[in-house]
Amino acid sequence: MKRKPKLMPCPIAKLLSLFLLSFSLLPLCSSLSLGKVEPIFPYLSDQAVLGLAVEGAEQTVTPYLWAGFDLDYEKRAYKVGGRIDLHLNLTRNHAQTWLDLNYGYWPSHEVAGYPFHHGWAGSLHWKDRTTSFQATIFTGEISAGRSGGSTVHALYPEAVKVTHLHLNYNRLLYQDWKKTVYFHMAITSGQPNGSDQTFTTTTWTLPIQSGSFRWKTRAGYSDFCNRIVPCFDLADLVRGYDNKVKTGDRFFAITMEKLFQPFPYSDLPLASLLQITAFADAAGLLQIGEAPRDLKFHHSVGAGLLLELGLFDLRLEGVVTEEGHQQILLYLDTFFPGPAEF
Amino acid sequence: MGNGQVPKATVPGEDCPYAGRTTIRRVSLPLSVLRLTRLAFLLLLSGLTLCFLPSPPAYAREWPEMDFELSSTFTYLHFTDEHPLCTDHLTNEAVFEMKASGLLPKEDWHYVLGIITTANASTSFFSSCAVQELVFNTVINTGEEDYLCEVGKEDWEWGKSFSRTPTYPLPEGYFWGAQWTKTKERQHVIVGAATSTDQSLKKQAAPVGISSKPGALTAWLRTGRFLTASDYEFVFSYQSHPQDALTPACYNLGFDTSRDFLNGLAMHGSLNLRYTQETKEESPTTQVDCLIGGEYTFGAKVIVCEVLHQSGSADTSLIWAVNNYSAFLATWQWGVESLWNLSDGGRYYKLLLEYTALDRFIPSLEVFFFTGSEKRKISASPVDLLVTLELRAVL
Repeated sequence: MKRKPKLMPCPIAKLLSLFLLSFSLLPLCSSLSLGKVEPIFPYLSDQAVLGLAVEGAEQTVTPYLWAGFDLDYEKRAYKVGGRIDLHLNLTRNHAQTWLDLNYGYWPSHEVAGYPFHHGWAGSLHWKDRTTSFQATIFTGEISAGRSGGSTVHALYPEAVKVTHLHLNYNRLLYQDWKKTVYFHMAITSGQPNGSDQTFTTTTWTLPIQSGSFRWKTRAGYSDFCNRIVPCFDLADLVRGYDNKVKTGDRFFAITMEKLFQPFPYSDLPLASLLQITAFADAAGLLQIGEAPRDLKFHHSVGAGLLLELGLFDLRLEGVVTEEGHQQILLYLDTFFPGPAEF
Repeated sequence: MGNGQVPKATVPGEDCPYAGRTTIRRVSLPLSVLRLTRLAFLLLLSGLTLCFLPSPPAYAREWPEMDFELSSTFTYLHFTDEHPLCTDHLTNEAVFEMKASGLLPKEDWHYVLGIITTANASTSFFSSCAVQELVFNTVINTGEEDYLCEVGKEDWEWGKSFSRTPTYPLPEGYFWGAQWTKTKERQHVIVGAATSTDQSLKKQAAPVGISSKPGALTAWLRTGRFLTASDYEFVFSYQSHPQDALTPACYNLGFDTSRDFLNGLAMHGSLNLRYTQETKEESPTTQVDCLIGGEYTFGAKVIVCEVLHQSGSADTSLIWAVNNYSAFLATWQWGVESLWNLSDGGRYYKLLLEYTALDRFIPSLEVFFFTGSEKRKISASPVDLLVTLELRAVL
């Protein structure tokens, strides 16, 4: 689950230097047939890394190197690995499959509340016209990390060595003129090394867009063990709440949004991509030991501007929570499960 | 959930007096076993992957057909007012299945390999990874006679009953065994044996009347004949002494029959005599299980009604169901079924709703109500409401 910063940190110097580096490496790699270099944008998938992806020329095994800086947790991140194209004989054709093996220190939200993954990961990817599926085995250390220089409040903040399997399923359920429905399911199950106890997290996401109206329903569940206590954060579910105000092991969340296009026919650059948004978020979190009947919803409302930039939206919003707490947010976002690989 | 099966609820929670009373016995495996299981799982995935690398080995004539299925289930449990310490509860479970099938290099033998792994509060994908199904079979044709040989781990169940067939001696599930079938014109002879040393996977335990214990070896001989619109079959089966179990060996003699009246109505019946040998603690017993039922199909809808009597437990159950399962192209599949224990008044109702219009993605909702005076005979738990929302994705 992606984290929405109050105001996105903007290390302009780092950003510019990385872009300059990428653009300078691009012709060099092309001329030497070494592959390609691409920038990694933060907040497009489930992490906030700003960096570069360098990929070797396509062959049986395609090597790659990702390097960047995590804006949320202010840490360097890297990942080095290789990709192998497979040719599985599945009952349904036209599917693309590949295997990925990598080692690194890269943020991930496969285990809710433990964003830092340092170790080996091997994954099998499967993708066709409407469906993508990914099965990843990770073995290494995960930790809650530090956010904005302060230790994240967690029951067990120290790094724990684990082995887990993460399954990620994404499906385009329906698409018609101005109507799109996706479904996303992520399941992680594993064990701390040397222990027979298990932990599991599951999230379901159903984003629906019909014309200018958007609706997103989410549900999540986690099981904990002695050393790993996955938890969902209200700040990731309802805009306007600070991190770790409330966490829980189960949640149900709804987001509704109405978009208005103020300049649909304008010739001014980017003006036709600009939208005015009004939204409402509501989510209920259950803490460990609470029964479903104890579910209480928290909500917020807000309005702002949204700039559609293709792969992602740039959003500037003002939001007020039910307690009257106000915030200004500036962030990148994708409403549907994005095509971004990073 | 299988047809007519009552799920046995797990009741976690520290303050609940029923905590830990689950139908699944949890056995803490030694760490070395867990490590080995994990290693085996990794090796299996690696092996499967390496099998499909772009440069296939020369001896591989045909690639297996691969299928993956992922299902995720949220279950809400509500407890009866008689158990105020048990609060309502929410659980989640994910099941990941991989299946490979194809022909062996000689092409005389067909194989199916199914691997299943479950993640929930007590198991992870690694600790529960197991072979659910591994079957090798071949058909030998010698003019008038056909022989089918099956070896491996599979669900050996037979019968046409909606709930369960009394002549089938094993619990529901997948077991290691072998079966040999000879078919000549309309007659058949089937000889098979299976062991229930392995735990049954995926399928729930049968609700009533199954006495097979882990460790038992079960063998059966079936012979019967198909007529124009009916069939009959005699079944003889034997279950050995399971080691370290109190259940004695037993012999079963049974008879199954069915008739289709070709006007939408079909009837079936089953009778089983179970003779249990004498032990130090108990004298020999004979138990009679019988079932009679029928189904009526009109349009896409099917009405099913069955009565099951078990002399051993002195229980008589009435099972009825209405569904549209025969409507294969329907957008929605729905079903209502109920089991009434006529002996004590306990009963349950089950509603099932499934949306089938999405290709390879099936959401379903299942609701169980447990009512009656002695619910525990049916549900074996203090649950009176169970709601299950499942999403199944086939890759």
